[in-house]
Amino acid sequence: MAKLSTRDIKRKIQGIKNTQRITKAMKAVSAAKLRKAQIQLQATRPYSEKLYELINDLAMHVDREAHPLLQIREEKNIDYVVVTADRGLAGAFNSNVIKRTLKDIQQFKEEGKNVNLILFGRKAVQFFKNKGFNVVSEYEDIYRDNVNLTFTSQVGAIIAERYIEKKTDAVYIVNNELITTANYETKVRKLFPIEPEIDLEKIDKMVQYNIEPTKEQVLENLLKQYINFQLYRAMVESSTAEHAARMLAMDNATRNAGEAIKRWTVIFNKARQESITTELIDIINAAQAIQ
Amino acid sequence: MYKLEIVTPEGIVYSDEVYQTVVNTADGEMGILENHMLVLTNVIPGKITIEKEGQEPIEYASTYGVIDVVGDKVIILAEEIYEIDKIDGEKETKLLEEAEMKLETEELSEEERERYEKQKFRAETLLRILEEAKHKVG
Repeated sequence: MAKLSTRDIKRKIQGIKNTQRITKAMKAVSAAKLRKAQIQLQATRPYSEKLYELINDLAMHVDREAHPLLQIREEKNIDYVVVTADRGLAGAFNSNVIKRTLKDIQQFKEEGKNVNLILFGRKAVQFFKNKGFNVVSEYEDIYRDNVNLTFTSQVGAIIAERYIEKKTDAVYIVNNELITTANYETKVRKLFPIEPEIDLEKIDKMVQYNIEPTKEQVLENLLKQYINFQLYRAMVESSTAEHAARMLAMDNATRNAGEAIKRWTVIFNKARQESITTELIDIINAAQAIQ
Repeated sequence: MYKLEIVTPEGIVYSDEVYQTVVNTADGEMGILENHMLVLTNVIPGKITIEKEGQEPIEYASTYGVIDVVGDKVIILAEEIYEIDKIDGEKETKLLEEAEMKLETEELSEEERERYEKQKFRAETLLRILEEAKHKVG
């Protein structure tokens, strides 16, 4: 290492301290956002429970084949929804999703299937755009305001439309999900075709129901709500995991900066001592020369 | 009096005993009193009015959803519910303009047309409710 003056070292330490201040602040911000996102995630529960219950009840009473959103076809064309964050500095958060996507695309291709991508988040767009992948649509800057249904219901409508028009035979979604505050997992879920769980005990209950205008129309409405909601939930899950991942990354960065400061302080002390010693030697030499 | 619950993906918006609820369905406005027949139907964008005895009615604006009337309980499952003064006029105007432009200028498939019609209706309705509320105050 080239020899650094004490002043250079001091400047370097100050620089690391500044970085540490930023990572510390980012950690605090992520912690606050994480709490908010976790509350938002919990709030989805009453809605999802009721929605699944209604869909399951109705799906038992309609002819699957006749309903365009419930049809099961051979999976030739696949839509793959990739959910990443808009921003980085969160460890391997975004690259985990991208890696998983590449792996799955590879596998689908080997099976002779055609894959189309729907991209959520700037990081996904940056990676997949203009690289020869079929991109159906892309959305950036989607987490700035709170994640909301206005946005996901617009995208959900496009996906439902593609399924009805048989442009796609199966829809998958990949996103990160928080498991504990310290770790998350990249998960892939199937959105379409929908597979309701059949519960025979409930069938009788529906008979007394008055369903207007028709079962099919109410079911179609519910299925569309279902897909909008799944997208919403994936985004909320992803942003919860993102904040946790960033908190962790920033915590590590703060700690590393602290260690670097310690290391450089030792170097600084040594350098200072060295310069004092040289100075003393000079003075003593000079004094001896005079005698 | 019966129990009314209004639920969206963002949480439970309203949960209390009420006297009457009025919602906008595909067949027009539907008022629900106690002991209403069992019904499950689509809710379209419009006003939800909740009446309790001896109190001013409470109003919300809703987008698409369903209403499930089961015996002593009524559940409205909607994608978005706004308190009237929290409607984002700017956002709705943008949605309306986008939908109108697509419907007028582009060649659309049947499904696409339906999607933009729905978007247009939603934005128009919410803007109308917002406008009406302003007049009332002014």
